[in-house]
Amino acid sequence: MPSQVPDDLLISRILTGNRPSFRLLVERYQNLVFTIAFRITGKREEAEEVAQDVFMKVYNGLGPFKGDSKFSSWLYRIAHNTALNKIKGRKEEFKPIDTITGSFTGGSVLNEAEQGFTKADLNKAINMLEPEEATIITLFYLSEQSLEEIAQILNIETNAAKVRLFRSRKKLREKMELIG
Amino acid sequence: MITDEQIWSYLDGTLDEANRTEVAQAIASNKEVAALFKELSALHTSLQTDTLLSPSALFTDRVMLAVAPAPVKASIQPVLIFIVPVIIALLACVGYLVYNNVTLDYTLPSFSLPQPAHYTLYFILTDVVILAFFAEALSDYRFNHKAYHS
Repeated sequence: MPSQVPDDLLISRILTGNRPSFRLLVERYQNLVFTIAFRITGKREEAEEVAQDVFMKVYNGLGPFKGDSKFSSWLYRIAHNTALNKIKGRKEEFKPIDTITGSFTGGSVLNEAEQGFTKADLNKAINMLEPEEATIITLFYLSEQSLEEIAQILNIETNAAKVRLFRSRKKLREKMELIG
Repeated sequence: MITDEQIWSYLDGTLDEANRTEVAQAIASNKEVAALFKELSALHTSLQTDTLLSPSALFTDRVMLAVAPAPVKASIQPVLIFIVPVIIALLACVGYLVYNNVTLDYTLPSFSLPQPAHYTLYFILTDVVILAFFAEALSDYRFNHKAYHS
């Protein structure tokens, strides 16, 4: 995270017209928003467009934002819905997957060899999931959101979020077997 | 029999003490459960150590530009306001002087501007400066208006 200033403080500064605070907010969340968008759209260009739309919506919606939920939950909900709207118009059922190179730094080659798959394989498999499944996996593991928060973001019950997380991981395992 | 769900819950750390012990014992004593645990554990670790993707380097700048496009032109606006009319006024003066020199050097048929022409010249120069100022202001307005709605 580029800055440790709490979200609430940044938001109150933005509302008084402080533009650098909005820049900090964008830098803080852009990778996660972009990752959610990419895992739903499967295309870098579209994911960037979605991410930009998301931050525009956030900028214009900060005034009415009541703070009833966490800012991050509100932001991820916007990201998920905006990405879903982006792919709604597609005629094709399949999701194109751009090749990703040099984006992964986690894990060693030895670990990948032990596991029998690479980070690229893992991301390819995640891209093959349904949008909601990909978002659940991303939020649970990369954003470390609790099941309660995921449920709030996706507007479902906590138990439903738990069941869908299990289902998503099961399906991910199947996709990994297909790729491997 | 231990299920996938139980192992995932074991990995997530959401099982109660009794169920956690049961799964741990099954992993230790049953080869099939141990193999399943190894497989799910590898996937779990991979997901935990996965890294976020990054948008292009200029992404933040593009977002900032999109939320407020007007300041882009502001940096060149003061320069144009003063430079353009000054250049036009200077060119007009130089043109006038050159014209006068030519009539003097080459002694063309006796022609000289009548005295009131000086006042006409000042009038024309003032008009040129004012028109240039308004032209620049109009151009500036059109640029910002277009950028805001694009």
